[in-house]
Amino acid sequence: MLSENALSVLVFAPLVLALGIFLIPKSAEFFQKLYAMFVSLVVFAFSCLFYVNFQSESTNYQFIINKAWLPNIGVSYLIGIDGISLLLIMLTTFLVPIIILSAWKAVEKNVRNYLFFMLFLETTILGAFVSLDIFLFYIFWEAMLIPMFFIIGIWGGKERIYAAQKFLLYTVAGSVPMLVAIIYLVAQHKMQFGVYSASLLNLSNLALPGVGFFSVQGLIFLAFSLAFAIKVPLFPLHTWLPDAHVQAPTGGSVILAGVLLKLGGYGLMRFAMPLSTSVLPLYAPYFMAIATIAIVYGACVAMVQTDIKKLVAYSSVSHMGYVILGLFALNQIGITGSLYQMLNHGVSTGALFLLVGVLYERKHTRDISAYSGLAKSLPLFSIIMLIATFSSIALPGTNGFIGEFLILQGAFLTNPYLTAIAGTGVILGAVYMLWLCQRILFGSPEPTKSNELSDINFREFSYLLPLIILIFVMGIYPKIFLKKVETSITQFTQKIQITSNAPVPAMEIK
Amino acid sequence: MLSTINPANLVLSSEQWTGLMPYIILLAGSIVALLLGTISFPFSKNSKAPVFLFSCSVLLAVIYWTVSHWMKIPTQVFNGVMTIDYFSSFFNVLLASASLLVMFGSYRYLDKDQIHYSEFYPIILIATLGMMLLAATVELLSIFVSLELMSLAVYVLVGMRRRDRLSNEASVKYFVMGGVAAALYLYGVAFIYGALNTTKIADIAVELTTNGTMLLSNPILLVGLVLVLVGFLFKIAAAPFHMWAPDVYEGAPALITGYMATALKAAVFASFIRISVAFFGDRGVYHLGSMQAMMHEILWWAALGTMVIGNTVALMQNNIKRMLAYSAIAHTGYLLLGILAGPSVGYSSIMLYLVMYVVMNLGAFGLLGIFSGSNDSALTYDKVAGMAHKHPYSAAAFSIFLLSLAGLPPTAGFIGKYFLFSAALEAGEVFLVLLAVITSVISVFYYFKLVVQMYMKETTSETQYHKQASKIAYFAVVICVFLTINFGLFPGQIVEAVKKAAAF
Repeated sequence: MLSENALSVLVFAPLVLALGIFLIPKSAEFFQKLYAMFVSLVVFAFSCLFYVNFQSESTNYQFIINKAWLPNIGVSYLIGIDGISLLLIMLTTFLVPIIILSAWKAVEKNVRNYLFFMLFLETTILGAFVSLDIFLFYIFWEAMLIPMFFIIGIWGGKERIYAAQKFLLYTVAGSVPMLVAIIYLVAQHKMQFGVYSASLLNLSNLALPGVGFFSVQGLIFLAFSLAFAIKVPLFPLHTWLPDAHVQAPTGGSVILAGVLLKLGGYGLMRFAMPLSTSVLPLYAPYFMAIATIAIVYGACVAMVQTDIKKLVAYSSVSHMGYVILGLFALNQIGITGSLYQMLNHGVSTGALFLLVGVLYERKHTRDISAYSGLAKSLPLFSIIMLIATFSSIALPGTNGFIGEFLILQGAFLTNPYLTAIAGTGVILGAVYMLWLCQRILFGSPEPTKSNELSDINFREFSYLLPLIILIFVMGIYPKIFLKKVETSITQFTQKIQITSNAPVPAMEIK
Repeated sequence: MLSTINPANLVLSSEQWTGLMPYIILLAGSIVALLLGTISFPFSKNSKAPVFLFSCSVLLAVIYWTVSHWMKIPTQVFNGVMTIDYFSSFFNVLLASASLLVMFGSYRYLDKDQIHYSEFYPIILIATLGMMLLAATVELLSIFVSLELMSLAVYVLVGMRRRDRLSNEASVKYFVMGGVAAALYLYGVAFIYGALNTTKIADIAVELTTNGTMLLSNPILLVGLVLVLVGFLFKIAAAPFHMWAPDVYEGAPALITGYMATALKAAVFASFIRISVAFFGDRGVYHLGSMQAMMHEILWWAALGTMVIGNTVALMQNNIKRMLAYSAIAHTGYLLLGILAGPSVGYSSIMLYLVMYVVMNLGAFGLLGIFSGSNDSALTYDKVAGMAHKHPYSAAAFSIFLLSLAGLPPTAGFIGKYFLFSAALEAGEVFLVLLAVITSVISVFYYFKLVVQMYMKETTSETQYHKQASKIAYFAVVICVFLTINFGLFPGQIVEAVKKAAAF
């Protein structure tokens, strides 16, 4: 069993250990990378202990640490995890070593700071995933901005400053209404129970008027979901994403798509939906409709892109639309699918961004038209690219299939018409991804286009391989992951359905 | 009431002596410091170091005395015109520390701008005395005297860069405008005395709370209250009486600007809190349509205007000092939210915010003093482009202060804003809180523009590198950085202290 403070150690280990990187001389870049790699692997190994020790059957939060922090306003250092956060934590700690390995050659200036910011970012992300105190969550949520802002702004492409500022402003604009909602909830707790409290467990006992769209619960839901929808990002709030992705360095894109976007979905599940259960049935159809638009719109826009990275970025808009669709189906199947889709998207889009990075390192362009017939000169690259593509377009046998299938099944039970439209997203997804593969991998290799490009080397292979393995494991045997979250999702579903009238279908997948 | 002065009341007990000691130390210290500047010392080439060390030790003595003789039980002094209590002791420590930081930061800055040290340090001490008295006086006329003591010292400090036209202009402008505001204030006090036959805040509070609705028909009183309020709004640079601030802030030496934006504002707010109890009353106690409700309405509009003007105009600035000046106006707007929120929750959050604000803003201005070359008024955004490459630590420290000013966690500024906004929300000021958070988003943009300049732009020929500043200035900045982060992560103790201090 893990010791009492284990979860705190996991959260703060990356940041504290990252400070050690400043002890390494500035010129010894190799050792800095090695050290960061070591830190991230240790954190990953440590998080595996949590995975092993996690009690799947328990309905309670686990590894809880509860310490008074600001008793005057009821804020405590309250952290703990359930199945949902467990899997997302695993995704985070799994992706960070891969990102650091991918930065080996790609990041040229100020490597030390880059690695530091990446590990700092890891701490803030883990902190947000484990926080059960809403105030603490907000602190981690906002603190996340700072390293990401620097990663995009310093190590990004040509328009990096524009992209970084846009990212910053969108996120801050989204999170201030959330801050007001948090202040309101904490004050309400004082009014109803006599003491301030920001603990999620206490706040869910609040009785708030919840009839109508703009009732108190409705407004709280809107305030929270605005912040999370920007992060997801949900159409029409997605416009910061393509800029941020295209300008960010490869590692930044991977962590952004892989984990940061998941915080939007996670926030909805953990905070927005449980705190405003009464209005969920009112808002759900609208969110499903917006999600459907996002799916189709994202796919259509992805289709016409000429920049590979932008294409992958818009595919994220489409894929994250599925997450929202499943979540607002308000039934167990849809929600399970949403969570699974979040993990899938982290893995498959992460892989795609890494592959784009591999190409960019070789030819310093991301134009689709600059590449052709890579299958001949870069066979290994092409195989991995195809596997990632298959995962992205949800081919049976890969992880993407499980996620999208569950989501569409869950959504169908709630709203078959929207589901039918959303289903076209799967086809459109196949169109833009396969078309991309056809254009860059196949066709006649023109000497000017593919010449001089070397196939992926051992380092690149070693960080892509874990992702490829995971794509198949998650696609063929999802139960090893789903069994960890089953109880948590059942509980979550029951909680949000207590007052909502959405149909409650039985759990069918086993 | 003035007619009731009893000579027996003017004899001081030992408790009262204890309470008055910080003020006496400071007064004596400032006179001695002034004299020290004229003596030549065998061990140093001029008397700068001795004056500096002496002035610092005076402030340390004030802090030490206040902390070791903490006035937990309010003590009335001088026939009740001054109350030395937890509240005033709290401000003594805050104001003396702020003055100390300014002295640290300005050690070498003085040479750069050819400011005469033998005037600078004693005048800082006198200004501190005025500020500390301001936090302790509870009678309108004594408030006026303290206000003037502080202001006169600061007028001089603003004009300290004698060869700089901007500095001279700023000083004169501040003096004239400040004089008008002081006159208005005094005029208001006369009206209030005419209407209520008292100038003591406690008596005014009783009158306004019990006869609030009836007094509304008394125009003399209304004029008096409004004029006093205008005097205060002027001193804290709240809209629509903020016009002087940008020019004065720009012209004054960087550290004095910081001093005005933090310590001076904190002192005036301390006094403002004291009169607010009378002027605005406790929310919920007064009836709609009473005098206090009307004053509340006036302040509501001032807060709204201050937040909007401060933040939007700061967005358009190209000069760092001017930007920080407008940001100081914006922060005044946030602080007014606390006054509107009322005594039960609002005042403690103002005090908390003032602590945070002093720490982060003084740090920012201290760094500005280090950055600037011979002319810190000309420090535009372009001049810090790519500075992080050459001065990584200064840039990192400046970024931390800017983050904190923008109110992002995990810094002191966030905790301060959280308490302030939550107090205002609890008091029902939903619209103003929403406006405050929206304007905070705007502020993120202009603060981060500087971070972008320092970290993400390439260095240009415009980039101004600073020479090695004095170690003691860096030391002051390091303290500010430490406190900014420390208050952001572990604000428990300071929050406790503030809660106790606000219960006066």
